[in-house]
Amino acid sequence: MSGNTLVADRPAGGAPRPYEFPAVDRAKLPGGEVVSAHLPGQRMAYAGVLLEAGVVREPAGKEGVGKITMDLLREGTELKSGDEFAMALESLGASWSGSVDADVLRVGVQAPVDRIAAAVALLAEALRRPRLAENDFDRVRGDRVAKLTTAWAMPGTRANEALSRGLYLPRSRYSKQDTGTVASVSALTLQDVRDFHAARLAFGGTLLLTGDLSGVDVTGLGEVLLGQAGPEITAPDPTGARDLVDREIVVVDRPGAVQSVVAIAHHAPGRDTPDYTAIEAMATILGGTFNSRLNHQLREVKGYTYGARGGFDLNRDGGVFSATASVHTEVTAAAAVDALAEIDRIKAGGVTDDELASTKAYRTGSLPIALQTPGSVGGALAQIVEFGLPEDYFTRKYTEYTRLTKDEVNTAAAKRLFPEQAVVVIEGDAEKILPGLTEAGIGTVRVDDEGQA
Amino acid sequence: MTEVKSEPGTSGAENASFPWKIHEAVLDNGLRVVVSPDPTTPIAAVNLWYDVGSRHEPAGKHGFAHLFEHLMFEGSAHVDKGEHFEWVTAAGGAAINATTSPDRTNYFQVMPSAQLELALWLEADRMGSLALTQETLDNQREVVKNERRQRYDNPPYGRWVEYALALAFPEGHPYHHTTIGSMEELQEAALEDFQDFNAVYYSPNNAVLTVAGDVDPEAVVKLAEKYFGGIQRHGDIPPAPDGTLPSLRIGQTKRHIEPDDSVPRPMTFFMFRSPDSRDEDFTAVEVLAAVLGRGRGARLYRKLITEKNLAQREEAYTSVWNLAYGASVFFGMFSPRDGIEAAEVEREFTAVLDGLADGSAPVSAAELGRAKALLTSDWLRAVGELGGRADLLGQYATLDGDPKLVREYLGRLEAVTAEDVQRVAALILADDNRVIIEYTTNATSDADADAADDSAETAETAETAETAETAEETQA
Repeated sequence: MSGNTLVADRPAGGAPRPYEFPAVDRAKLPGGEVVSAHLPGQRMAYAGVLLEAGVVREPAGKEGVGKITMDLLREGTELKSGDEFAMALESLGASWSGSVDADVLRVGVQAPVDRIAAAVALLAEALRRPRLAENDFDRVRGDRVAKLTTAWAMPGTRANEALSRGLYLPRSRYSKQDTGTVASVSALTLQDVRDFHAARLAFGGTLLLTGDLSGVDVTGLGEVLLGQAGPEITAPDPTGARDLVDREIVVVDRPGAVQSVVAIAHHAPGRDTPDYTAIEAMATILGGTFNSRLNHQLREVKGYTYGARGGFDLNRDGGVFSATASVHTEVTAAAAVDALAEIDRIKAGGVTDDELASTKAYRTGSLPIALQTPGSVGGALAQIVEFGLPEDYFTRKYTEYTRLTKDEVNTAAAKRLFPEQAVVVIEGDAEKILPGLTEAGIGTVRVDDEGQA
Repeated sequence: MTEVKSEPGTSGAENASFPWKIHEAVLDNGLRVVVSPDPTTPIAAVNLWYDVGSRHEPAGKHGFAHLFEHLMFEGSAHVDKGEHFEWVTAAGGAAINATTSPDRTNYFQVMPSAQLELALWLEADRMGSLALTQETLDNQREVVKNERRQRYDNPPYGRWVEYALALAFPEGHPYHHTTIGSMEELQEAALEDFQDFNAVYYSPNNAVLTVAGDVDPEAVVKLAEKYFGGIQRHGDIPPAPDGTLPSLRIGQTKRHIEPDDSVPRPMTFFMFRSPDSRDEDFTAVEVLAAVLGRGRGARLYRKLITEKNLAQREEAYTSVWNLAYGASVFFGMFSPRDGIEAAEVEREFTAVLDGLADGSAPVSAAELGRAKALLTSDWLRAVGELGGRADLLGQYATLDGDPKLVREYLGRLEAVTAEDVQRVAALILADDNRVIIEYTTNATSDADADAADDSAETAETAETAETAETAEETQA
């Protein structure tokens, strides 16, 4: 509107009031460790158990057994039927969560803090004394298979599978999805689940606890949950990464798709890499925020997509860089060319002073914003435990970012990005996109039809 | 000097729903300011609710409120395209986004508290001087069309809500179409449409600014005056299209069969009209959705899965949207287990609904307690972080006229009785208030495919889209 008086100058703002990650308490018990963070005034609490039961622990041919075992924990205990267990847990206002990554498996509950003790008792009952009955197993397995079939029809699933096949040798656990495949899950038996539970979930672990813990007997909860110590943990098999020599363009046909999923990926170091912070900063600039180079170019300049992003997923024994976007079918080749060009550009030319300054402020300033809830602080504790990070890791990040130099970030871009040795998977209507991709001259194009629902 | 209305002494501190103080002020130009201090963490949420959503869109311009929301990130007098995100991020802010629903549009970010002023400056600049150019319109139109492809057209079942709303609400009703809009109408959108929309609705007297977190209320109101005080009110806001319905119920069961060989398995969706979110019965509707369909212990789960093993397991077989004007919508869904006919599951599903509605299977105390406990935890989670807290204050201020009504939620929840739940069940779950969208695949019988032809036509004439879409995404 004309006639409005607006302040022209952007306010400079002040230095942030310092943030400190909540003090982390660690208590060693016979069965394992309790790692807790007190969040004053927070009326919800989170309790979770971290177990050495990631997908790398799944026996060959039993891919998906971890997830299905986790599902079955809720289907009844030695003391309660599945319905009774659910009624008991939900009547506390508690919600159940479970996740599994390459290295660890985590199950937990969130409940009002005055009910967290009762919720932890139920978590312990489900985790240590599950019923694991045949009829429940049949139902849950049938359900898992149906979910995998449904996922197969969703955009992106086939691209992810082709990406894993491109990055890892067939014998590697990493060459298959965390969920397992329709074939592997269909072939699982109740005995497989019982064996996996006995080996990986029946004992030990680390209890993570967050919330306003002023009235909570933290050690008492540890005793309820942790029981006896688990067996010694041995090193998992090597990752089985496939050597990438030249860039490979892999097309996965999804006839009739109105969008193509473009995914570019290559190998990366493990989580303990000394340049972790530099990698994180570089990835933020390349594809981590709305203003990142990938989103800016593909969305804001070209309008090819609703969003483009890229980043690193680093596990204990290695990691993956990936960049993804869902793009309109007609612009598929152009979008792939643009995305690769952005990766080339940051690798060769590094980042600007403005980008670095902005990323430092964002990565430190947004930390307390991301760590407001018991669930998110629980996730932070899980990272500390999973990767053996120092207890004040999140507070230290401030110092690390303050000290981070442009040279370090540019070195990370030069050393950790490999657009020439990447796998580029494009899931879309092959008939429509193949000619353009071939013509684009970005690499040898092949069609991957190995996947099956 | 704007007067700040503060609550006396320690009022509010003992309130279970919202134990933080609430301060209010109104600037001369009509902008309402709500402040709720909490110094626990050095951050502050900045949230604006504009009282405009897709329900305000005239025929032929569906999807425009949401496209306008995108354009709000494309620059203003002192802020270039993309700089809103850039400056907030560079100041250490996060959780930047905006969403458009049928009822309203909200814009929000969380800042380090020392950078509060920056967010106020950015929000004021786009409220007072939005740059609307053909170039950014053309770009964001493509982005929104890709959003539509990504969320509705490409995924299996992506359009079911479009089909359902078109049948649940009559032609011309503000909720007949979805928020995302249609490709054809978005394609026709002209710059003047957005200039007009801006002139009519993006006025300080049609907005609520809420700040929650590590701030001083008097200082926030002074800063609001500094940055927003020079924006002129555009005049009175025209009344929104009337959402009043002649009767709450749809009047019949409407079935739309969608034969679609691209979907992986059959799936059935239900939609029922329900009392709107401002109705005193709405909390009972939320409890009803939890009793019937929320969680592993819900009645539908126990019947369909544990007892009969007929359907796929779901976390929510029923849920409810909080639409505020005329009616809200209550949903149901299931996918039959392999080898089971959808019709058989539907019979059992509706038998569970009927048992509750006709009182033959009343709500037990345990079921009621379970539902309330789950909803209480939802609430504690929402107010447990500043973004959620600010958004709820904006919601109550905009839809109900008083942010302090945020204090009543848990009390209202506690007061819901088994009889209330049964009463709303009888009201909304009746068979003359149902829309059923049934996806069939080539595996289903020919009889079903025949029935599909009639209703498929109904859907083709239907307009579009859906509620609360997250419109901008910032972060991986």
